[in-house]
Amino acid sequence: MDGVHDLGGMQGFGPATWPGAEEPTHADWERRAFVLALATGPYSAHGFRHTIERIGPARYLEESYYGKWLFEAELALVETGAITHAEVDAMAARLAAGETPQRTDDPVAAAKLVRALQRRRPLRPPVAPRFAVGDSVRVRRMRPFWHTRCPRYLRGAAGVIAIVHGDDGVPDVDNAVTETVYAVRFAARDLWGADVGDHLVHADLWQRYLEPV
Amino acid sequence: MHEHEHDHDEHGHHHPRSASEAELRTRALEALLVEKGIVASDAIDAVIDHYVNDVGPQNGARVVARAWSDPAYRERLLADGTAAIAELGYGGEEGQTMVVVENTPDTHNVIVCTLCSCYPWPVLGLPPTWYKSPPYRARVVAEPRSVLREFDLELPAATEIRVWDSTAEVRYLVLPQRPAGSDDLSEDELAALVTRDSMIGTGVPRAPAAV
Repeated sequence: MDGVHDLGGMQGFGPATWPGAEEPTHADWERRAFVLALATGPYSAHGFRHTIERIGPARYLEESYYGKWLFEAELALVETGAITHAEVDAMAARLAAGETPQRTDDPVAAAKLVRALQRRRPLRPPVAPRFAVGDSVRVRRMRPFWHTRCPRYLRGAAGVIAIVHGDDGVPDVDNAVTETVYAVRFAARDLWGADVGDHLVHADLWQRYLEPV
Repeated sequence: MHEHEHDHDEHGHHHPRSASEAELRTRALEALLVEKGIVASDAIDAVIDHYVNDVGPQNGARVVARAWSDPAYRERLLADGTAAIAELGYGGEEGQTMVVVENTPDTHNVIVCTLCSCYPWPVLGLPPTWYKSPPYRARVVAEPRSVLREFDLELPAATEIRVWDSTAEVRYLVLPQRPAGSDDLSEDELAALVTRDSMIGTGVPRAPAAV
């Protein structure tokens, strides 16, 4: 989905940092929203990101970072049928009226969740990579309707394979197919013209995003 | 439009919330999930504790200090970041496959995620707000020098800048240059020089005298 989340190369957003931007979180609710999104899976990074991408462009840019995670957590749970928005509305009304939320502890589940977040799942070794380090490639032009991890600013650009990372599920088809992922090196001037200078940009791209040059 | 989106609009949640609205909505969602038995209260506390206290740039600093102290470890780290970082006990979500990119006198690396906020949690913790905000994500791929200048980092004109956009499930860590005058320092003392930003590439390590 070519949404406003795909920010690479855009202009007009102002300074890159500002006072207060150093902290990862600023309030307890942000940390709790983060964990609710993380803990209430099924955790698929692609599904998670796509839900956030569906927030809508104006709100995406205006909403706080963990406000987006809260949106994701609630919508993902509604879409799996676990809860309804109306149930959250009703609980919010109860809490706003002064009700103290129920607390239920389960130390076994808590330890299991923390362990699950530390489980190791590296990319699989590449089985049949189409490209090798040093190969020249071009990023395909596309207009994807679901989730993709191929940024707009790279489409049509020529680059060189820098790293063959390994095999991973393809985001565009929600992991239904596995393909090799490559780090591709681009000269910034090939993306935005000579005025941007001589730096290099690397991006990690699935094989289907690339064609040989 | 899907039915749930109508539902969402009708409930008026389609606009950015104030912090107090977001706080109430978060409390309500948590309370509902606890009431329904979907999540345990202490599980939420445990994950927060993990990401606030156990995981953070102190982990990445240990990796960097080891690489500065032990040439064989540095070689393993650059050849297979995932395995070398796992030697120190770090790994997991948002750090499943790690690539370490080394700064040299001629080369400076900087990491970003233009599409969302991918960041190597096991070694750096949760990202600073600026890292996951539109200005940094939009600009650092196209104009790294002007962005780095806003972090008070002015690189020599001859330095080659390499930007790494984390668009897949690989996470990057910058191995910064060891500061001059740090030859006699222990690994613990070296780790104290390593800043979070020096491992993102928006900074450099502290000078030994500054510790």
